[in-house]
Amino acid sequence: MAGAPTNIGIVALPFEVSTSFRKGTVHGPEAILNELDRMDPFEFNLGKDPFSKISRTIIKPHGSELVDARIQQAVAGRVAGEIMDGGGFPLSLGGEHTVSLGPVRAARARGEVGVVQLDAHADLRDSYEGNPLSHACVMRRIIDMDCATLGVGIRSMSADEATFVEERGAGIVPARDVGRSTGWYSKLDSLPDRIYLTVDIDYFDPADAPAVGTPEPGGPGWYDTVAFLNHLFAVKDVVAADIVELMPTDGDDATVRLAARLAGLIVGMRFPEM
Amino acid sequence: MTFPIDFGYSNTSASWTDAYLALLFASKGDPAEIGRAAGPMAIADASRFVELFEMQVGLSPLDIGTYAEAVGGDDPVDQAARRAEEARSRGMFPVIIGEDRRVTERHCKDPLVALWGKVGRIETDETSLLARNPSVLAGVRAATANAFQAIPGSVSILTATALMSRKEILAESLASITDPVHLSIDLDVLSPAVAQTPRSLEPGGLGWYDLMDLIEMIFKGPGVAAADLVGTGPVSPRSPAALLGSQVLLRVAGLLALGLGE
Repeated sequence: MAGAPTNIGIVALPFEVSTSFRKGTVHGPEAILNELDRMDPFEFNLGKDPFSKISRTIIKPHGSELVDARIQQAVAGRVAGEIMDGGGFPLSLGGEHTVSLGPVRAARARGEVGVVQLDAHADLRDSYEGNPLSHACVMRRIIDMDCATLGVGIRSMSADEATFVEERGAGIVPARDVGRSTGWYSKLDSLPDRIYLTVDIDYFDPADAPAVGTPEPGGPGWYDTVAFLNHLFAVKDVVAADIVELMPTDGDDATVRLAARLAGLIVGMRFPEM
Repeated sequence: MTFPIDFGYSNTSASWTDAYLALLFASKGDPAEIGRAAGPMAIADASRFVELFEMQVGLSPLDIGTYAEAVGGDDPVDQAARRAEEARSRGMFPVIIGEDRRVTERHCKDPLVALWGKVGRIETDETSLLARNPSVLAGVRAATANAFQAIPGSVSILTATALMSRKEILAESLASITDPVHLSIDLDVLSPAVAQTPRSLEPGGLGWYDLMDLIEMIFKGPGVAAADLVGTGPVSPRSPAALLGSQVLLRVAGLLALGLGE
């Protein structure tokens, strides 16, 4: 893997316009950043503190008042691109899933890239409630960028999305298959070496992560996910990542902790020597 | 008092005269309150955010013709049961979504397969209900002593522990039932980690895919003539449990669609 990054830029993207069932993802980035400061940092799955030897910068390129998705994409994309150009690894924190578009576009502008999506929903609609930039359309817009994709943990899609998956051959791993075996890992073979990883927190089973906008029963568990991420980072060059759609809720600290742990895992796996 | 309501994201509901599946939400709710009301109406509201393609069966199940209505009035349970009878007489498949098991007591006319997490200290005389028809009580993990002792010997009791060890025991219990059954699903049959309602506090319980497998087993075994989804009283609007309830209904519709296809 050429050009391994040497530092990490954590980018807070508190953007929320198009969420539908429940709202609150705009508070996700701050909650994760606070939890990263609060929790014991040692990561038992990796045997180290992922942040102890890595230079990290926290960037807040816009506030929660931003409501224009195109401006948000431009801002988030510019920041992610600058981090990559500086030899860094951008880890973006949403916000609704739309915030992935800017960083993915930045990664795509720097070479062929595949996108691995951990999510409960396919997010392949061409338009949702008249909005092509809805959080429910984000993977369709990414495919529009000529990126190959693999959706993992999917358990909700419309008939139109199912047709699109069949016609376009978009990679899908249904949620129920995630923990049954590791045979589906071979689907990564069809993706480019450079990978953008996007994790919608509603990918996880609501028992583990209830604080999301649209929880779907039957999601994968934590350890099956850790195993997959270990494999992903071992076989691919993950150039950027994001964690989106956390909706902090009073009385639920577990989902915020899960999201922060996930951030630590991603960083630790991306910088295995540090 | 009844009034049609939207069900599902794309709101492609059929009319009462054209539908095959009748979803009857027994609630004192007002259509203007959808999105704010708890209980059955919270599930109706949540359905509008649920995708309508059932990945597990590969179908858009509501395309079989689905009609949804809120059934209100002074006694919505009785009203819904009468509406369900009317639906059956028209060859439709009725599902009542009720706050509690009074719905099952009034609605059940067939051999009963009850996926319930507990018996006793509930809203109705469950032991009489169980005794009334050949019954299988599956997924139970809590009961009052009196209620448990009063369950007639003719009822097959499959505890949650036994089912989690070997789900096929349900199919074995169903083998002696030759007629299509009444399927009653109480949300309390699910683990509290899955159902997340104030009523679902007992540890243990079924996982999501366990419940899906059992429902499929019942549809593919004796078949199902009618159904209810109960224990929805504590379901809050815009909550995970509301979405979960709508997903259970989608699954039932999916299996109906699959059966029609076959």
